[in-house]
Amino acid sequence: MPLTKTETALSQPIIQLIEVSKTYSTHGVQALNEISLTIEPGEVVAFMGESGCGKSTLLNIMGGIDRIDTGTIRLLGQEITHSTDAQLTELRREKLGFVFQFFNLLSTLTVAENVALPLELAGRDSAETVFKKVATLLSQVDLSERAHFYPAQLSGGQMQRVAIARALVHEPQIVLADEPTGNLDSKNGQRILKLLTNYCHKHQQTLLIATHSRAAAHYADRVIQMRDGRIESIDPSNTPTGTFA
Amino acid sequence: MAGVLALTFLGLSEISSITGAETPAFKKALPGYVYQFPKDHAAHEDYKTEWWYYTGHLKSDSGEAYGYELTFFRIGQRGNDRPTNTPWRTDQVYMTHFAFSNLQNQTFIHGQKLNRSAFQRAGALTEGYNVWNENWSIKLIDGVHHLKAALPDVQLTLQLTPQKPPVIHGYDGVSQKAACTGCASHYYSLTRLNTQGQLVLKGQTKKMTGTSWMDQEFGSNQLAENQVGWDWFSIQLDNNMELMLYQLRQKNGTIEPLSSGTLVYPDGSTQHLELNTFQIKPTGRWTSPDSDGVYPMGWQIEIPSKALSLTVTPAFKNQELQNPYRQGLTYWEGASQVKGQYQKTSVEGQAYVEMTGYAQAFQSDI
Amino acid sequence: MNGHRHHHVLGFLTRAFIVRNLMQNKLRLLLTILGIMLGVAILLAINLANHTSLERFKQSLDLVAGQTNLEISPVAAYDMDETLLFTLPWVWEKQGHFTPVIVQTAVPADGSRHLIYVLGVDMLADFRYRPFEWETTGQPGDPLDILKRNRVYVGHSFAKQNQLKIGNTLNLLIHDRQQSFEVAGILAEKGLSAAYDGNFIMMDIATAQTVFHMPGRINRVDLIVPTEQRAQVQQRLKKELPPGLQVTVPERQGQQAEKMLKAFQLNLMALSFIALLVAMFLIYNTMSISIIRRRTDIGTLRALGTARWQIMALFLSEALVQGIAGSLLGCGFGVFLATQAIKGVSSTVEILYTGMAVSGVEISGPILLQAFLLGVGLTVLSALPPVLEAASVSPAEATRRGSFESKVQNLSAILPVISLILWGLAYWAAQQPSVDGFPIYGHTASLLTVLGVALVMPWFLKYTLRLLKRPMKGLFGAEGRLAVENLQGALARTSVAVASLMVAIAMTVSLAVMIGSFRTTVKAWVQQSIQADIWIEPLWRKLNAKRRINPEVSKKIRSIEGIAYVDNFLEFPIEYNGQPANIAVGEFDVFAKKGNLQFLDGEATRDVMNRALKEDAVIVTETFAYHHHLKKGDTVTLETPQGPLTRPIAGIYYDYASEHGYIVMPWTLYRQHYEGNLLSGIAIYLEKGVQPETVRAEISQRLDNQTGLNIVTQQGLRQEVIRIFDQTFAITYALHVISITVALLGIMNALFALVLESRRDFGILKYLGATVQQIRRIVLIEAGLLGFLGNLAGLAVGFALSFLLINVINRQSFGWTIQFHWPLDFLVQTFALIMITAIISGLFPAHLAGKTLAPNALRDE
Repeated sequence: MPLTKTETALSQPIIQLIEVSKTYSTHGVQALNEISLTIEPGEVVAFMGESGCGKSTLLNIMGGIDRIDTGTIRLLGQEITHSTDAQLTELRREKLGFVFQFFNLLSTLTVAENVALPLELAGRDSAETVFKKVATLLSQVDLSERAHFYPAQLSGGQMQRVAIARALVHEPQIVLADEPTGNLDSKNGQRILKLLTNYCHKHQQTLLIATHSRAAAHYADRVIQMRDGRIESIDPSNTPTGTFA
Repeated sequence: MAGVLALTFLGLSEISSITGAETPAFKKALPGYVYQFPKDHAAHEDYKTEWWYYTGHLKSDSGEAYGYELTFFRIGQRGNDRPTNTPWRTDQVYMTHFAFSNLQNQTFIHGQKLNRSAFQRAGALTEGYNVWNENWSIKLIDGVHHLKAALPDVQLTLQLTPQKPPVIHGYDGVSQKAACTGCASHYYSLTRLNTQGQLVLKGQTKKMTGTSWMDQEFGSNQLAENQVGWDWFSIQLDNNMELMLYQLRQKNGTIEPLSSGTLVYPDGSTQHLELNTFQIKPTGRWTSPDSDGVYPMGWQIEIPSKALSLTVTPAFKNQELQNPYRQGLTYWEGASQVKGQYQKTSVEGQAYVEMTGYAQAFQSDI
Repeated sequence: MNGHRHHHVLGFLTRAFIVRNLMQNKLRLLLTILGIMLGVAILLAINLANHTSLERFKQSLDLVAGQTNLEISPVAAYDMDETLLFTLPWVWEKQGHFTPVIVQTAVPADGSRHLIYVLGVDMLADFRYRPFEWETTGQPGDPLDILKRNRVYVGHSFAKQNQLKIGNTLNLLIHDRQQSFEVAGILAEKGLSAAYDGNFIMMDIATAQTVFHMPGRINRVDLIVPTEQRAQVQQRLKKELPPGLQVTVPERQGQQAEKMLKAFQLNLMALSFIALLVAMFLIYNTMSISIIRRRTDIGTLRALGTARWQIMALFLSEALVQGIAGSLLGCGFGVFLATQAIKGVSSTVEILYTGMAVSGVEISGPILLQAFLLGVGLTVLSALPPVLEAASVSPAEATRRGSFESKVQNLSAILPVISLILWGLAYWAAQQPSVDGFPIYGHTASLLTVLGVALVMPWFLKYTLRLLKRPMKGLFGAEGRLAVENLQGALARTSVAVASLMVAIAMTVSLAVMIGSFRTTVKAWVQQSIQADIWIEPLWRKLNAKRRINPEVSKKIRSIEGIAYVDNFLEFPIEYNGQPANIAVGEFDVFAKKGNLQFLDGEATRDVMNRALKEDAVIVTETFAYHHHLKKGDTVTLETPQGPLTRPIAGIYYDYASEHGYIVMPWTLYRQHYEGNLLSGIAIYLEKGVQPETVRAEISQRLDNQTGLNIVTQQGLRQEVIRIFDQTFAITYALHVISITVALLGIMNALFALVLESRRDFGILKYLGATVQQIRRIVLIEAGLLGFLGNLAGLAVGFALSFLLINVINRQSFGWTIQFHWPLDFLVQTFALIMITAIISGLFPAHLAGKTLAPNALRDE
């Protein structure tokens, strides 16, 4: 892949994994087995494979949520293998956004409050800015009129759109989505994927999706097939979007 | 003789007075005492200790046989803190024992009263013979001894009439108990009193007749340090003779040489018996289940010089008095039967036997 | 067959849902059991401490009564004439016995403050009344030494504590003098010596009469008569006894003691009742959280076809097992707590009532069982509502997260209505009179008030938390708002936790307000009533009203220069209409000139005293008038040795010295009807400008520095009264600490549950970039909020309860009028203390929350 190499020279890869391994001591299962991988800024990558193939673990590791046993990770040009919890938290707060299969909204907060959460935890923006940013995001996910609803009052698709808004509100450089459509019907799933990929492309954000749905792969620049903690194959998606140009 | 009980009761102070540590202003029992009756029945407060002692064998109309013991001790105290503003600090303390032997069912009950002379709880008059401890009492009215004593279920009221004049024991009015001067008492007995009265046994009133024995003894210190106990016999024979014997046992196992006795003839004349004129041989043993004391039980008495040979057999074994709270003594005092020969003629009779110093409790505690 | 299958299914479910769940959630199991344990322990501790002090005292009375089955004692006098004994010999004819008894107290002259009982008996004859044995190394040498002066026989513990052996000298402060005794015997720990825990002294009656200055006097006569004769003997005695004496069966002594201790018992009962409430909330808190957490599991089980009764059986049997485990542990811990608490309780009882020190806890089977069953019962009962609720809803609803919460949110509209009804009932109950001197309605009103507040709690919290959201965000940022929202989201749990803290704080506050008000009232009363400049009393008089001064003392000092008036004072306990009371005797003419009693109707002391002197009338205290429903102008009738004495009441005055009250009479009246001339105290009024210290020194000198007397100045006496007051209530403060500790452990428990419950939320927050510190802060803010809200509710309820305590409960049980007073500093301290401890109790849960691993937290679900 000479093309990739030249690109590397031009701009630093946003994520770089070198021979990363991870074993869950509690189960004794090797979740990741010497994985090496490079992801460029703005890339949309889909990780595919059966349940337990290691794709969720990989996502967590790239999100600084989980630790590796051996190997090296670089995130945004920064070696994070030995970063402290505080540094990783800082990184998540500033640069990363997460979307989950089960939405993981806080049931006690309204839609708007859920979306505002990352900004408030960071505590940098004024209430006014927060309000503006939340309003913008909500209108982009088409939920402005539901701002004061509680999660329990929403449908699955709506909840996932709230989750997306929450993942994007602080303008992260990387968005990690773990089975974002796993709990949705296909129509809603499509809508979510479209929303996510379009938004990320538009804002030059890197999007990593762990999924076992073929449909998701359709939206990715690259599809990485995983099995038993190893990368089985890396295919450029059949619908390149020309991000590389 | 029973009064030696009271001496032991006095314990250490008695011994210390023997050794001269205290100076009680009590009279000593010394030779030459002249008795006057009935005046000498009454209390002698000049002497430290005194007792009146009655035992007797009773029969009901229907032939049931009983034995009783009623003893009043007077213990004088001098040198108690005086003057005092409380009537409870008295010079006289009275201890009374009442024991009752039921020969039918071989049961033995006994009780003790211990009181000082305050509030007429107990007393002994010095003029006229009148001794009491709460509601137990002796009164001499017109030559008749009136006895009253009661325990739960047993109330005894008796009138005793002497059949013989008082028998003065020992020589010259004193009965010597040890070699030291004053280690003696004034001791006399009424050896045969015709007895009648009534017994209320568990609510049933029974008429009683029988024969009693009375002792009175007074003195100020009698017991020597090496004496551990004694055996005492009062025997009434059906030939109208009576016999009193006592032997004081010493720590080394020998008998105090001054132990003695008195033989009383039908006419009231008496014969003093020195220790070497009689032998008392135990014929059996009994261990008290209550005190663990081992007592002789049954005796063979021989007085060869008088051709008197007697077998004394307790009416039943358990006639031991245990007095609670270590205030009194544990001793055996029981009705007994007598069989034997006098001048080669068979005689029968009855006796009371007293044995002290056999119960371990007695020796170790006091 | 069917039953067998059910049984089998239940067994499987039990293994799968209960056993495994318990194994996997050891921490939660621990918390649940800990909660139950604490609840049971506090209840048990208070009950045991209470029970022990009373039982020991009653046992002692029984042991001292011994075989006695009748006794003759004065009704309304200090002692009686012993010549009565001359009239009793007929009792012997009934196969009975009788013996005189003197019961007094003394203080060992070794500087210890322990009052010790002294039994003066006929040492020769007493064995049959009170069997005892000697210690092997403590046997009297010569039984007749009993007749010697100043021999004492001591109980085994007293001998041990003071290392006494036969022949040792023992110095005792008796009345106003120090006296030396020779120890002549030591009682073995059997029979009589078990009385007063072996802390007593026995002496011959002759010695007792001499050293207690009571020649010819005794305190009572004990009789033993055959059972079948008892009624007859009692009848005859009743007929023949001189006036002022009564013949009773000794069980009455126990009853009297109980009566005497009633007020104190009530105090403790109210506390143990509140402890029960706290325990109830604690257990409910624990159990409901444990079940609400598994509500979705219940829904799943129901969806899978498990019958409703099987769910109930499943979770109730779980509750039963936890209840048993927790209650067993609680019994053990309760005994330990009681052992600690008994020191506090018994010192109060000792000082106030019995004059007897108690050591060790009396383990009572019924009380242990009661606490155990109550623990198990409450646990199961607490589990019932959430289980019933979870089992009754449709499976689909049960599996939905938060549906229980929304239910509580809905209910919070109805609950306030129930609360209003309860408060109405409380108001009604507070108006009711006491039942047999027991303020049952007052306690009911307290309970209703507390229950009402507990029920209104969700409603209260819903609105308060809503109001708090903005300020909390302003104060603590996102964490502040998240904390509020977390609590709001778990309203049911929050309500229970806040309610249990509220109960504990309400109790503390109400008692503090009551005691604070009482103290202020007493202080004001002391300032007004104690007008004498110097006061002479036997040492430790306050410990026992029977301690005496020889009247010679009064004569000796009368001529000292600078003394204007001398008021000889005497007091002794009596029985009035079957209830304990006191008679006091004083110089009314001195009072008329110098006294300053506060009469209910505001009449001047001088006027009342002069009228009383003229009419030979008495004055009585407010408490006495209250207990016996008397008004000014009514009469009192006293059983005196001269026969019944009926006198009018010239005035009723405020007094806080005794809850049983006083009848005060002038010496002229006393001398006509009573015997004996000993004094309880001497009050001295000085001429103007004379220095109390100078006169005090002069008095001391004239009395040859008599060691048994306490000569205090006005100021000293006032301080002494307050000191005794504080000592009396020291125990209640100790109990506050216990209750608050338990309530705060309750907060910790609730927080742990909340933290466990919020694991998922904390996981999400971590994904969203929340730092460990932020998560910890959320939990700490929650702890602070719980503390704050509990404080708020507790203060409010506490004030309501203090009104009930002061105006209903106290009034009905003691008859005192107490002026309301807010002990502000204490309340502020309590508030701060609870806030601090609440936050401290959040530290460990916060630490736990901070450690939440994000992926695990989400994966668990």
